[in-house]
Amino acid sequence: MKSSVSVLIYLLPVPLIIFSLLIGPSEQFGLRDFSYALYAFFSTPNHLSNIELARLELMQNIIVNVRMPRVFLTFLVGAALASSGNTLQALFRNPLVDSYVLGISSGAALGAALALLTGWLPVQVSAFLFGILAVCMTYGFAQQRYEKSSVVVILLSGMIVSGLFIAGLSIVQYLSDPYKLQAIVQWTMGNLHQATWEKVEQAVLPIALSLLGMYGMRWRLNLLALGQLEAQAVGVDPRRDQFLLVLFVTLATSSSVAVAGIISLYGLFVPHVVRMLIGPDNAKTVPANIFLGGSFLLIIDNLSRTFSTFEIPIGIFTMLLGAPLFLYLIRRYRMNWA
Amino acid sequence: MTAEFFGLFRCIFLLTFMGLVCAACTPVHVPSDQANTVQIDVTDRYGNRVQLQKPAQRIVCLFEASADDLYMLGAGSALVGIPAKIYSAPDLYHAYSILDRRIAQKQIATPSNWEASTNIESVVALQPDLVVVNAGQTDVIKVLQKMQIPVYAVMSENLQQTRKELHDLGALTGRSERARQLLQFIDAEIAAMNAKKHNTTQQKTVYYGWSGGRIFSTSGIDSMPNTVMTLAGARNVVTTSIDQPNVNPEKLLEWNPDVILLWNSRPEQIYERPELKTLSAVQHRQVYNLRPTFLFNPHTPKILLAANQLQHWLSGSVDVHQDAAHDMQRILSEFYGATHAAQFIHMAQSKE
Amino acid sequence: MVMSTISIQQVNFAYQKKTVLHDIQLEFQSNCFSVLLGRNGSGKSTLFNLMAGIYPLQSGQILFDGQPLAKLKGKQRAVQLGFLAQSHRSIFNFKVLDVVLTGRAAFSGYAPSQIDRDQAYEALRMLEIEHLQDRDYTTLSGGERQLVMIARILTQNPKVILLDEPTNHLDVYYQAFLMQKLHELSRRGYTIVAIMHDPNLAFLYADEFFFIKDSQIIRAQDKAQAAEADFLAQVYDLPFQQAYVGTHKIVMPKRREISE
Repeated sequence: MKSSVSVLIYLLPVPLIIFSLLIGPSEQFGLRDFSYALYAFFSTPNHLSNIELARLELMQNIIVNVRMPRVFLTFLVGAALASSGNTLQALFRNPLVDSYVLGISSGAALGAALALLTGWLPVQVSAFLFGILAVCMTYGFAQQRYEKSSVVVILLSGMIVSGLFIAGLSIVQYLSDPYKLQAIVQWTMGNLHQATWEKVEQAVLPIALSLLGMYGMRWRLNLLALGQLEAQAVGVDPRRDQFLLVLFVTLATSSSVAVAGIISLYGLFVPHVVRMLIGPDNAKTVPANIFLGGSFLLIIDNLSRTFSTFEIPIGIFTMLLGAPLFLYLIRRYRMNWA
Repeated sequence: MTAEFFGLFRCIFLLTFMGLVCAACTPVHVPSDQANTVQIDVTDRYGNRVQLQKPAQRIVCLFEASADDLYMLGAGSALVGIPAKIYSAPDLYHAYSILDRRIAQKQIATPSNWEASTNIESVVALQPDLVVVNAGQTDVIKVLQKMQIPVYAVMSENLQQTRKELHDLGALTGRSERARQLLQFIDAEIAAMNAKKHNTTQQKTVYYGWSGGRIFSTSGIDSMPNTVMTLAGARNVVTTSIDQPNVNPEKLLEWNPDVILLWNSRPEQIYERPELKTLSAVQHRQVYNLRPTFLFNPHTPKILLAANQLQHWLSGSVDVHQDAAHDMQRILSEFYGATHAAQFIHMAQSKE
Repeated sequence: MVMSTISIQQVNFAYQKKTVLHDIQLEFQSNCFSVLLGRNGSGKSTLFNLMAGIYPLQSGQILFDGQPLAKLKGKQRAVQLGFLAQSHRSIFNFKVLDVVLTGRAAFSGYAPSQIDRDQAYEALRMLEIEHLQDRDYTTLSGGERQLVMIARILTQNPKVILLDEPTNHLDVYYQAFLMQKLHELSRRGYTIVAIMHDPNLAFLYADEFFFIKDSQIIRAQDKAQAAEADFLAQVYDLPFQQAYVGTHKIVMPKRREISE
């Protein structure tokens, strides 16, 4: 059963992406029209009237400039969040952490709010930088001489840093006039609907590098997931690996938050789903999180954008859809930890 | 011995506490001068009755659109308190500096941060005889009323409200004649625009983008931008009554509005986007920007100016820019007088 | 097998102004199963942590084959030293084989090779637990888990194996099984140092004995004296009695009769 599920996970993305390009909220054009438009990229049809040509151009424009960046961005962000969540859960040996536990989401939200209020930097850059700042602060506060309970200290430190940044965010919101306030709140709810090629370009490099890095260290994650002492016991100093992995997670998550806002809980439950389906061996779960993380968010986003003309922020959808799914899986499968 | 002392202490403390509670519960009786006759009596749309013996001389106005109305009525000199954003927003500061030298020199007090936050002590310290405040600030209204300070609540959410508030403010400042003049002018302009509407062949569609570059956020049919469109004889592409803060670009492409109306956003933001290149509004360069926003504030009678300009842009006539500029000058002169109107137009042009 | 001795020289350690170890001077020989005994709180665990490199040294030296531990990093350290901390629980239900494979982490870079897998199988076989290799680690009993962790250390093939109270939480079967295996390993050339608190088990299987009391080492003159009741009474602050089973001496605490 496990191997067939794995195969499914790895085969899903490409057909899903193609399918996602063909569906949308359009009322004029349906699935067949867009399939024809997609086909028309490869073999240019002749003998088309002006009207038909205009229609074709419109549909192709939608596919290339509206849907493609959105589909790619969604996949990237989903893969980044799921992989980060998986890595942190292994690193901290705690199944309850998600990719935002180090304070990244609060930091990035404050960065974005500051940028929206004062315009000192582009919103994405500001969010990204503040996300990284938050993680640095978390680690700075958590420095200890003896490593015994460092996981607890890091998580506590992350909570404190989060609290600090949220306080800062509240101050910024307080000082903003109603229009800017609205913009800030909108931003934090998650916004994949403003996906542009520009955003894809900004996010693809840090996310791809991080995913590659996490993939390269997937065997090491098994060791780190056993514990700090257990790593030292076989002669490996876990701190260097921890630092690298946290760096990758921070890059990936900060980039995601910068371009897509805060998508809650996604990085928490997708790694669990993956573990339930194919077991806890990180050598297998890391690539599975990349593929399934991307695909699943893409499915959710497809639903959110075809459901109605009125777009609901994706952060809400992940909770509404993810929570019942997760509950179902909890009942069905044995929980994969002691 | 100490036990007895504490027992006594507790008694005294309890009695004092209960005395304070009783004092707080009794309503405050401020003797009112019932002998004088009330000359001005208006009721705002929330049922608050505002009674003045004579026209207001010291007005604290905490709603920027109402301050604007007061200047149009010629009662601006009675203002002793204005909203802080008149100083902090550069566009507003320039505009109001033209209207009132005191504002240029920042001499008028600002007892509020923005429409939702008011420092009541500062308001009272200015000894106003009338306070104009946003109807959403119910706490502030209650406190001021308790202190027997006349409070007029405004919202200006649609044209009808704006008209009533203009009329009431005129009464409260003793400028009823001027208010009547303005209202007549407003009616005349609307009639003129209606007449023009029937001359055009088909109704055009307009898409409105929110301020500050949020071009994928738009307003529904219950909004003021929608009023601008209907006054100008156009139709909103959006059919829902609620606003849509997240518009999928595909939807915009499908709606394909004839004209895109922006509010303080650069049209380049629309023209530059590759996914919008098939829009007819982009191909025919029909993206227009209403700026500076002060001149078109929909919470004031200047909503007419916005509708007027839009109607010119929709007409697609050869002299569209000249006609629009001419009308802008005419309408602004009616509201503020020719000198100020010219200064405003100069301000708008210098910021291009 | 190359010999490796551990030399502990003039080590003092204090934790929050309280001296935990005072002037410790010890040598553990290779090809030898050494045991460190003492009461709770005597400093055994601190000494273990210092030897394993978990705590940083405050004064003195700990040399492995003449090299200070702090200078050994990565693969060099993995080759010298492997240790087993006290009872271990895993959050994730890895397969036993996966757990054992992680022992090769210092050598295998970022992915295990066939050599690594062979080492893992070999380690499982040496400890007679190859039948457990596909089981979930979290479903094993305490004794089985302990053996898996030792198998992990064996894949690393270090010269020194340090164990902190390895027979805790084990049933009698696994206690005996484990001590037997450790004895066999010492004969194969490993240097085994275990911290224990059961003197009998130690005397049954181990070669050298060291005692800690009140932050200091107490030496016995020879093995015979180490098993003397008087000597043990001094170490444990408890009256002991002894008896013989065949030629082997066992010791027991003396039970105090409750006076009426």
